[in-house]
Amino acid sequence: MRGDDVSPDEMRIHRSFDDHTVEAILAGRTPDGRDDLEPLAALAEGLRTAYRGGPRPQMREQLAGFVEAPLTAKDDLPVTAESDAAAPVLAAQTAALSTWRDHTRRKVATMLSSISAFVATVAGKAVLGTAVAAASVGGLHAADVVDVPGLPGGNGSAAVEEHQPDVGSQNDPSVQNGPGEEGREDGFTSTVVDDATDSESPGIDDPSTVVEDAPDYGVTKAEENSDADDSIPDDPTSNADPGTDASTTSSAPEDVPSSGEEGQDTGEGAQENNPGSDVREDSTP
Amino acid sequence: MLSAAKEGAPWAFRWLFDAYAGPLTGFVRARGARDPEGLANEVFLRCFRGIADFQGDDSGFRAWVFTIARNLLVDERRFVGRRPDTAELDEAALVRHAGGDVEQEALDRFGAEWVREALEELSADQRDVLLLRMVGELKVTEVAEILGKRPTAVKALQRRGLSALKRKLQREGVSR
Repeated sequence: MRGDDVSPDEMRIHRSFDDHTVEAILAGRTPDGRDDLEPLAALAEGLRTAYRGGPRPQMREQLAGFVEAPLTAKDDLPVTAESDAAAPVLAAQTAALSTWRDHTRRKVATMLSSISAFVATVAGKAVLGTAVAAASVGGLHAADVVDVPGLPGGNGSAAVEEHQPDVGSQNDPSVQNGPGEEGREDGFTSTVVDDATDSESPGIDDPSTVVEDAPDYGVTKAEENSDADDSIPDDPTSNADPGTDASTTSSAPEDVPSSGEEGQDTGEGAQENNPGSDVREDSTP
Repeated sequence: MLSAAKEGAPWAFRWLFDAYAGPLTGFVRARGARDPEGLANEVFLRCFRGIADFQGDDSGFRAWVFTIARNLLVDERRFVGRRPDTAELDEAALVRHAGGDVEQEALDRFGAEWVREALEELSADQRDVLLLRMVGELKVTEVAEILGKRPTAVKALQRRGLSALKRKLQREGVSR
């Protein structure tokens, strides 16, 4: 112990009262070679004698009654060796019960931890979100707030039932000449019926009509496809001067962004040289 | 002994009471209990009621008993509304057990009143430490457990307390 660690008074006290000296004084003995401490040792012994003197403490009624018939803090009889005579059997039963409880707790804890770990992952969150969304939609459907056709109940089935009569009315002959059909002047329905009930070729239109229409349509589509193929420039450098080639200009996609006057011209050319109309005119027999 | 008391053996209760009731009653008397013997009975009743749950050895049991006593003393002072630090001494016993000329001189000169004043000059911790060590006959570690302090702090408190008592004796001219 250095002088700068404690006060000088504390150092003096520590030197004057080391552990052995203190123990001797507290025991009422004068330490060897410390006659200056004799009054202090006498005082300690006098204190001990005085406060512990007098009559010996006795148990009072309440404490004596407890000692003779001890009860626990909850006023229960304490468990003694005699009262615990059936301890081995009870101990075995208690041990088994404890094991069963521990096993159940471990299973529940493991299950909860697995669910928590799964939910903590991204996939778990996605599955959980999907399940919540599905449950929400299902609940809203059951509450007739949202109509989900694929689910039973709710307004979905009612809506299907409402639409079914319309589907059936298309095949109902009595509905064919309904109020909407009566106002027609071109006799559309009658013509169709006549064609379909042709005795020579029932259900088949005039072949000439089909032949006349079909090539036209087929050629038109073919030309459109060929123009579409031509619209792809073979030379990538041709894009540097768009609009100079007539075929390229006419087949440029409409969604290609126009740039400046050349683009403006290209757009006008595309409108004037409608590939579909040109081909249709050329290929029409 | 403690294991027997835990099982509710009356003889074990009586043995524990006989072993610790004297120091305990002296301590609570020195600390100003109104009814030292009644308070000691209350302490042992509480100890015996809860001894089945007690975990520790004989030293721990002593510390436990004196800890309950200190708590009951605090409750009693709160109830009474005053705080006497020391109780009246059995002056006759003080003189009767003193031995030697010096002790006789000191005790005859100052008597019980002087001793009470000397104890009241100490700090509360110094007074508790010295009374627990001298009257309660407890070890440093047990006192440290009761007061919630480290043993080194208890040793320092008892050194300062004895030094203060020595200075008072020197001031009063009781020295050789």
